[in-house]
Amino acid sequence: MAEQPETQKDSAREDVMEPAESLRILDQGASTARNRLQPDDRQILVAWGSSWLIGYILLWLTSDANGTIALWAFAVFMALLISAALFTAIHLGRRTAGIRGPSATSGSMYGGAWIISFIAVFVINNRLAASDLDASITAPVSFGLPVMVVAILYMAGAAIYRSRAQFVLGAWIMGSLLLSLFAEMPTAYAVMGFAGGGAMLITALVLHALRGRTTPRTP
Amino acid sequence: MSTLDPVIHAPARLQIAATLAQLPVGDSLAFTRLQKELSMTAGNLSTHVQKLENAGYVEVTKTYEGRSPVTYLALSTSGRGALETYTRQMREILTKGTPD
Repeated sequence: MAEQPETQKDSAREDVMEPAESLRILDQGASTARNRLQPDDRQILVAWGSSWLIGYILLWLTSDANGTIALWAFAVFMALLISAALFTAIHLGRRTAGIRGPSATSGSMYGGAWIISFIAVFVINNRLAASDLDASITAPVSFGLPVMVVAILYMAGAAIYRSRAQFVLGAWIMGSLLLSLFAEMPTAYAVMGFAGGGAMLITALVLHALRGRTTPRTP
Repeated sequence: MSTLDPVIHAPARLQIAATLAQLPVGDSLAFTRLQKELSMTAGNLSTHVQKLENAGYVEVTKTYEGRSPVTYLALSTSGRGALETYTRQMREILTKGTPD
């Protein structure tokens, strides 16, 4: 049978596995899991951080005094966000394929929370735009609502995944939102681009630095 | 002096156990996914998984997703314990020369 030669070879190897090789295999198991079986927060943060940074700065540079956005700029902003969302979905799909259990359940629910929340944001912002309310009211609300949802979901997600870095990022984004609302409306976009998008990119950098310093987790 | 667990002390089975050990407790990994990550043939992986299962170290769950049969693997509690013991022994050998 075709299996026999492989198991015979393996049996012969079994007797001569050195401790150093064993520990190397153990470390490799840990790094395989980290690099291939878990989502990479650094990549996701870079995708969203750069979308926010570029997108919000573009809105800041092209909106009027009320914060009303030019249609083309809004389209570019949405394209950036949709790209980040697609990247996140594909990345998560690849990394978590074939894994089932409590983590998969939590992950699905958390992902569902993002989708449902942003459908709601989209509908609410559309209703605001279609209303008779003045742009001086609708612009800050339309701006603040999605950012607040992001901040809340980051903090809630941090509780699920017990990630201090994610909690700090969520709280920081909420603080930046409040700070930006004290600014004149167009400036609020700039504050969010740098403070929000920038914070995501910095968090990615911090996570990268911490990863380099942690030895792979062997049981 | 205790001897090394012969079930774990084999490159392929150690790889399997070490990878499954990284999953959170309660999670399991599809056979095909593990096969892909470890670059083993299905037959080879199956042989080693069976040895680990016979020792009680790996839990094998066969189920269906739609109409396709899928096999999920998870390291059992005794499997995690055996791997921890083995790791400790390896570290002791490297530092002291003999496992306690």
